[in-house]
Order: sequence, then structure tokens, then C-alpha cells
Amino acid sequence: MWTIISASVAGTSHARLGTPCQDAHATLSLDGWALAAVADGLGSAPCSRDGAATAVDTAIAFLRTAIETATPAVLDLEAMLARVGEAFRAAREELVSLAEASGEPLAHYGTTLIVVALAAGGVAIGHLGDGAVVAAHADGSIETLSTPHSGEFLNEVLPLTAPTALAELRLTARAASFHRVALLSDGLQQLALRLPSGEPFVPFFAPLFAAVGPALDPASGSAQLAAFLDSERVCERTEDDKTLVVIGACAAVPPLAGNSP
Amino acid sequence: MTMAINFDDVQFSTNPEPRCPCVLLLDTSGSMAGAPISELNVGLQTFARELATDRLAMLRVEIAIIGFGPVAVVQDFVTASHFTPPTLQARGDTPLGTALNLALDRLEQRKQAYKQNGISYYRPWVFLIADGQPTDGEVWRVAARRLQEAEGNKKLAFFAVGVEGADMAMLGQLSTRQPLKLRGLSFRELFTWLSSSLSSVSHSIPGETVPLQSPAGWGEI
Repeated sequence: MWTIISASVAGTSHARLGTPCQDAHATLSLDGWALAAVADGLGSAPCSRDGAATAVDTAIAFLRTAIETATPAVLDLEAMLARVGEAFRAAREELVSLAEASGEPLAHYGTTLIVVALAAGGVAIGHLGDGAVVAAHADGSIETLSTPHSGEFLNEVLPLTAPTALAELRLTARAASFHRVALLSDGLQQLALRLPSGEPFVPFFAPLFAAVGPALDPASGSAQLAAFLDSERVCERTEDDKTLVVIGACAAVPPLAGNSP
Repeated sequence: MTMAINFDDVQFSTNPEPRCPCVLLLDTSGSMAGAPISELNVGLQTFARELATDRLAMLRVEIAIIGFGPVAVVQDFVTASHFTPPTLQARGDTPLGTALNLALDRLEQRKQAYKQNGISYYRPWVFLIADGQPTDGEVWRVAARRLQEAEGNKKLAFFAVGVEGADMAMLGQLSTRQPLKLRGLSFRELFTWLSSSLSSVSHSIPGETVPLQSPAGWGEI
């Protein structure tokens, strides 16, 4: 029921410093739900690549189990929002285990995390740190559902490993029918949003949202997205790692306005 | 069939460049006369030239210069691309405390201006170069308390450099970071280091702490 394309690409500053891409993402389409997680490992944290990958994988695996073992069989939005919050707790606990096993300080696994669970009638979002979630309604109007959150200074953000992380977690539930939802890491914020308000820059999203529908093959779409994120056009505007996940509703719901065949 | 996504249609938002403010707090008192002030002026020219080699730093680094002999805003905040190095004159005494207070005030005003204009910013730098002792009584102690509070809250990064003849003990009491002693009149090397350090900060990305480069080429503890 959902088409999902996604890519994480190393920023040019990482290529310059010889460090790997510290963004990670995971997605899953299951029982009418589209699940997606995006994490941006902190540049200052030595193991943040592992932290980011572990955070997204743990969160998605947690939600998968939640959907598969739900009683009653179908989760409502309120229940899913609670599960999303628990997914953050599970992801943080996994980072604690990772740190204990490796002997590294927990802070070395520092990462942001965004988790989205989208169904036909609504979306549940958990968000810690920067990055954003942007969505299109059935009428094609585009809005930001969760805005970047960072400290006073540009290079500061509260990571999942912080003691106060779960208290700072921002949970959002919206009972509306969204036909397209995008998750982006902070490497794309300057390009995709109007800052500091965090409103979407519509000409960034509209062409992407128009493309991610039933006609798009996810593997091909993801490969094209990765090439775009690595393109000169993008790289001359951002030096950071960048991740974009775009979820589109398939045939079961009508296409976006302006995108009729 | 593979559908091609037309990424050429994707347009980018234009947001103001984030800023990296740096206040140079420079001793222009009479004791700097002669070789020290002329080498300091050469150092400022080096600073402007080095910053000009970095495209992002030119857009993001903002420089203000406060001089003391008589306390004066020699250069209000300006992006590196618009920075013309001044030629400083050495005269008067050393009102270091008053100058430091002014630097902290101007920094606060600048941050307000950033906020009002939706400009994000990096942690500001205050870079003090002095060759003598404060001549404005106990004002420097009050300014030092303000500075230490700001440092404690991680509101700014402060660096003090003593030129030959400087009261290093006093400089040591200003801040939690140990002052550095300039080797001879190595102002050029100092400003090359400063430019390079600010470039690194202006390229840094969220979540990244920039390690300080060694000042070994120009300073010693």
C-alpha cells in the first residue's frame, strides 16, 4: 500500500575528513503501516555511525513486533504513538548495551532519531534532535509535521544518548490522511526548509512527492534519490551527510492533486 | 518499467548563512608602540588574506575589533568578505576591563540581531591580545566574572594571548582557559592559526565539536 524510497549519502565534509557517512535510515511497509526511521550520528561522537544504525534498526524492529503482536489486532493511532515512544526507549537501551559491551562511553554513540509510523488515517511521529518530517495532504498542500530542534548554537544538538533524551522526546500524532510523508536529516534542512520557522520549501518537496507514487519502483527510485543527494547541485549547498526518506501512498488512495495521469 | 524522477525540478530554499562571530580584543596602548603594533597590523592583514582563501569562512565568519588604549570599536561585526584590516595606532593606557565588558555587550547585541533575523550561529569566539596590565582599576575583575560565567555556560570560547611584558598572572585569572604567551612578535603565525581555526568552525556541522589546532607555531604556555 506504500511506496518508500530512501537514501543516506555521505557529505563532502566527511569525504574531506575521511570519515564515513554517519546518517542511517530504516524503513518497512507492514500491515497497512509505513514505518521509517532516520538517525544522524553526531560528528563529535566516535562511534556515532554504529549509534545511528543501531538506533534506526532497533526502533523499526520494535515497531514491527508491536504491529505483529498487537491486541486488538489493529493498532489505533493513540496506541501507535505510545509504541513510537517505547521504540525510542528501546533504541536508547540498545545503545546503552552497545556501550557496555564495547567499553566505550555511551556518549560516543550519540545520534539524533526520527521515527514515523504512517497509516491511511494518520501518522505518529517521535523526534529527537534536528532533521524534520514534512507531509502532503490529499489536496496536495504541504506542511511540516515535526520541525528541527537544536540548542542555541548551530553545532549543538541533544542526542539519544543524553541522560535527558527521553524527557526531551517530541511525540506528535495527526489523525489525517497524508498521501506523502518525507523524513530528512539536518544535512538537507537548509535546502528543504524555510528557517528558522521550519516551514517546508514547497518547490523542494512538490516534484519529489509527485514522483513517489504507485508507478515508481522503490529500488530504482532509491538509487535515483541517492544519485541526486550526491549530485553537484546538492553538494555545493550542503557539506553534511544527508538522508531523505519519501513515503507515497499507492493505488488504494487517489493520487495527489496535479499528479493525475 | 523504470520511471525517472525529474530531480531537475527540485528547487532549493535559500536561507541565510549561519554565522561564526569572532571579537578581536586588541591592546593598542602606548606600550605596543613600534614593532609590536606594526607586526600586529601585519598580522591583521594576514588574517584577512587567509580568510579570503576559504569560501564558506568568507560568508560565515564575522569579525569585530575592539581596541584599547582608549576603548573603541575599531570594526563592528562584519562578514569576512567585507573585512578590511585596519591600521591600528598605539597610544594611551590599558583599560582592559572596560574593553572586555564592551566585547561581551556587543556580542550579546549581535546574537540578538541574529535571532531577530532568523540566522543560526556558532559559539562565538573572543580573542584577547594584550601586552601590559589593566589600568582601569578593578573593572577587569568584574569583567572576568562575567566572562567566566559565560564560559561556564558555554556561551562563548575565550582565548587570551600575552605579548612580551604582559601580566600573564592577570590573564590567567580572566578565564578558565590558560593564556598563551606569544613567541616574540609572531603575530602573522597567530593570525594564520586563528583564520584556520575559524574556518574549521565555520565548516563544522551540527553535533560536531571542532578540536583546537595546536598553537605551537606562535605561542607557548
